[in-house]
Amino acid sequence: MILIVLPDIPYESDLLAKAQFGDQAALRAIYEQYFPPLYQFIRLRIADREDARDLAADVFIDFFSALQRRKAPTTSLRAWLFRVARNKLYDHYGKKRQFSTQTLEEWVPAEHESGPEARFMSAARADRVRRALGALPVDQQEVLLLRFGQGLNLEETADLMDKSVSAVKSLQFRAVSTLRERLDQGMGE
Amino acid sequence: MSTRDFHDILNDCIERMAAGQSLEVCLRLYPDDAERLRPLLEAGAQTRHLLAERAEISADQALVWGRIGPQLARQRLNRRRKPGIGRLLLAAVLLLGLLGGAWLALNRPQQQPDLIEPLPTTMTPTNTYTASPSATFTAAPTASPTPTPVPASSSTPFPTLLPPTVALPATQFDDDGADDDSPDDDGERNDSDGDSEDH
Repeated sequence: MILIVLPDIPYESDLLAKAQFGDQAALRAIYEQYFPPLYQFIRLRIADREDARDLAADVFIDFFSALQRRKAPTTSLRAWLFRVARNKLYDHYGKKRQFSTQTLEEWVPAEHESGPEARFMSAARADRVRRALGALPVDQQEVLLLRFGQGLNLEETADLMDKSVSAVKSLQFRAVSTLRERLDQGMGE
Repeated sequence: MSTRDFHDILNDCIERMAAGQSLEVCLRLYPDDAERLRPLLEAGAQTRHLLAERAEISADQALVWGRIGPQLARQRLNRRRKPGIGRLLLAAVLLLGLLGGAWLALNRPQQQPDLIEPLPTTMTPTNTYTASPSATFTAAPTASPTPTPVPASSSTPFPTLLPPTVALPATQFDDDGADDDSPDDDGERNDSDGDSEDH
């Protein structure tokens, strides 16, 4: 089972306060902490690895620039960074504001198990999930990736998606229900 | 149980799982809903199988930092070197003051000898311009006394050399003054002499 260890909020606030005074170590720590989840979030939406890298770099450049202009977030850095990443993704896909489902088709899944059999099983399972997720509406895909994949809390997800907390609760319920159905259908095929 | 309650329970379990608790722990907390919760939570948790490989993330993390790290250092350096707006304004004001002072210092000594020196010589004989040296400055804009000598100068041997412009006052003063100083005068000077003689 994969565990996502997220930074606790007081530590995040402390880092942010130091970063705002130009503390290089704090800036580096923020980068080290948030690059992996942001990259994951972006990479799931963008098939081209180089593009994903560019977008992730842009997110941090925006953050450092905001720090300089004293417009950096004062509370939830994580939600702020994800919101910037989300906007970058929308910019990447243009005005239609629709993520490419083909991206998920081209996704190379993580290989957490060692050994050829385990890897095969893992790849098959990831492929099934990928197909099921790709069949969901975009907002349902997004809420699942943010809540389960990136471990954002309800408030952060609501803020990032410009929805109310209760709307996100309903959305995530619909998302897991639909995903369950799709997975079951995939099993039957 | 209402839909809203179930949404809250599902949400609580998602939060717990994100914090590292297992699915079984969540189900034990809500035994009445466990049967309904399990397939949903399992489905959601499967999205984690789509996470990128750690090696890929690490490699790209290092690459991106290699790109933005120096940029960040440069930005910090610029911020240190960049003075505040107040300082810039003060520097601009001081610079303007210095330039203005320099301009005045350079221009003043050139004008005074030309304008002030002739006056005593011209004023004394003609009595036309009885003003103190300060009158040299007022004479130029008014220029009212100058046109009178200009038409009179048309009868001089060099009428075409005199443009009917306001440039005359200066020449008039010079000429008046130069009357005594320089021997090689032109027709205008002669006229002015004539005028002064009339008075």
